[in-house]
Amino acid sequence: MSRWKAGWINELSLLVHRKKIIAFFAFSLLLPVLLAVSLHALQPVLGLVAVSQSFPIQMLSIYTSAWIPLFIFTVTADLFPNEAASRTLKLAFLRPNTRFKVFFAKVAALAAGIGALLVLLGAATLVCNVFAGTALSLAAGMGVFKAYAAAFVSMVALSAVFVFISQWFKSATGFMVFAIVLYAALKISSFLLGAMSTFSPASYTDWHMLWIHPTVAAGKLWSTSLYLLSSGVLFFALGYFIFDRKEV
Amino acid sequence: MDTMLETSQLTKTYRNQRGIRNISLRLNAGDVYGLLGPNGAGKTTFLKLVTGLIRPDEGKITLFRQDLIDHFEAGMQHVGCMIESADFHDFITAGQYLKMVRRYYPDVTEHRITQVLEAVGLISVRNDKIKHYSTGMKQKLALAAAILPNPKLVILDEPTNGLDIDGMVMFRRIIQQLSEEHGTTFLISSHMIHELEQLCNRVGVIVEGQLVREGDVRDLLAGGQSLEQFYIHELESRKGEKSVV
Repeated sequence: MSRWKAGWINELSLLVHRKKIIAFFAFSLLLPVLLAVSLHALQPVLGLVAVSQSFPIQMLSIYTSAWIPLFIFTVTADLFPNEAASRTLKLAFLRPNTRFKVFFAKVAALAAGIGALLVLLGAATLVCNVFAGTALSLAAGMGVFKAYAAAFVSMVALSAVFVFISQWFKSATGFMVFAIVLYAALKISSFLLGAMSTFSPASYTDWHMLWIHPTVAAGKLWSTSLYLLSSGVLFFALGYFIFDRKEV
Repeated sequence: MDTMLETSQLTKTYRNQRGIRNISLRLNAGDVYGLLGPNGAGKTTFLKLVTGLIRPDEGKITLFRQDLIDHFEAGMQHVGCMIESADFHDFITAGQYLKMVRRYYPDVTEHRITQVLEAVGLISVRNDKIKHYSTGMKQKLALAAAILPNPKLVILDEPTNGLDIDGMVMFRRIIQQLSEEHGTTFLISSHMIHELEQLCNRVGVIVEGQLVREGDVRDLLAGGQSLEQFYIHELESRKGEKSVV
C-alpha cells in the first residue's frame, strides 16, 4: 500500500508540474466567470435571469459534455502514450512496485484530477451565483453537491474507457485526435441509435441530471449506477491487461 | 557465497528474430561483473529481462534467491538500475525527481539525496529543470537515482555514454567506493573496455544473443593479454567458427 501511495503521489506531483494541466485548471477557474459575465451582459437583450439558482447545474452539463472529457483525453495522453513515447514509463517500472500498482496509481491520479477539476469548477460557479445575488439555499446546495458527485462517477467511468483505448497508442497526439473523433462519434451515435445511448459510457455525461430529478425511479438510478460501475471495472481490467504486457 | 542474481536458460526472441538464447549467469555478492559484446549482441535485452522491463520467452530469473516475476517488489527493493538511455520527465528538477524516487524507499533520508547529488557532481544544479541538462548530466542523474536507495545490486547499461573524462573518473570512483566499502554488487554493460578492466572482477561476453565466454578477469589476463585483446580474440574466434560452418 505504501508503494502504491508513493506511485500515486508521484503521478500527482508530475501532473501539477505539467504546464498544460496548470493552464487547464487556471482556465477552469475563469470559465464560469466568463460565462456568467457574458450571460449577465446579455441579460437586457435576452430578457432572462442569466445566473439563476440552476446556474451550477446548467454549467455542469457544459463541463461534463466537453470540458472534462477534454481534460481526460489530455491527462490520459500524458500518463500513457506520452510516457511510452518519451521512454519515461521505465522510471516507474524499475522501482519496487508491481505493474498493477503503477497502472492503478496512474488511473487514481487521473480520477483525482477529475475530482479536483469538478471541485474547482463547482466552487467558481457557486461564487458566480453569490456575486449575481442568487446564492443557493442549503437544500439547493445539497442538490448541486449530489449532481457534482454523480458527475464525478460518470466522468471516472468515461476515463476508464479512454485509458483502455490509450494502451493501443504510442503517440500522445495520435491518441488525442482519435479520442476526440471517437468521443464525437459516440455522442452522435447515441442520438441516432437507441441502444448506444444505453450501452455507451459516453452517453452518460449528463447522468447527474437523473440524480436531481424529483420523479426519477430509484430502480433507474440503481441500474445506471451499476452499469457505470461495471463499465469502469471492465475497461480498467482490459486496460491493465494490455499495460501489464507492455515491453519498454 | 550469497547469490544476488541468477538466470537459467534465459531466452527472449523479438519479432525480428533477434534477442538472446539460453543465457545462464550467476552474480555473487560483491561481484563487479562486466558484460561485453558488440552492438546488437543482446546485452540490453538481457539487462531488461533481469529488471522486469520485458518478459522472457523461456528461462528463470532469481533475484536474491526469489523468482523475479513472483516476487518483483521484494527483489527490486534492493536493486538500483540504469537501463538504456537516461530518460526523464524533463519539466521537473533533479531534486524533485530524486524526491520522487525516495518515496519508494521509506528508509532513505532527505540527506541521502544531497549525498548522491554531491557524489555525482550535480548538487549545484539540483534546482535546475532536467530539460536544461546535457546528456552527460542526465547520465549522472540516472546514476544518482540508481544508487540513491543504497542498493545491494546495481545494474548499469552503458553508464559512461555521454560522460566527459571527469565524469568517467567520477563514475569509476563511485563504483570502486561502493564495491569496496559497502560490498555492493554490480552488473555493468559497457563498450568502455578499459574502464571494465579496471573495475570488474568477472566478465562475460555476449555475441549474437549467447553468452559465449565468462570468467575471472584475473585469470583471463594471466597470460599478459589485456581485456581488449581477450575480447577481440573471442569475437575473432566466433567469426572463425561461423566461416568454418
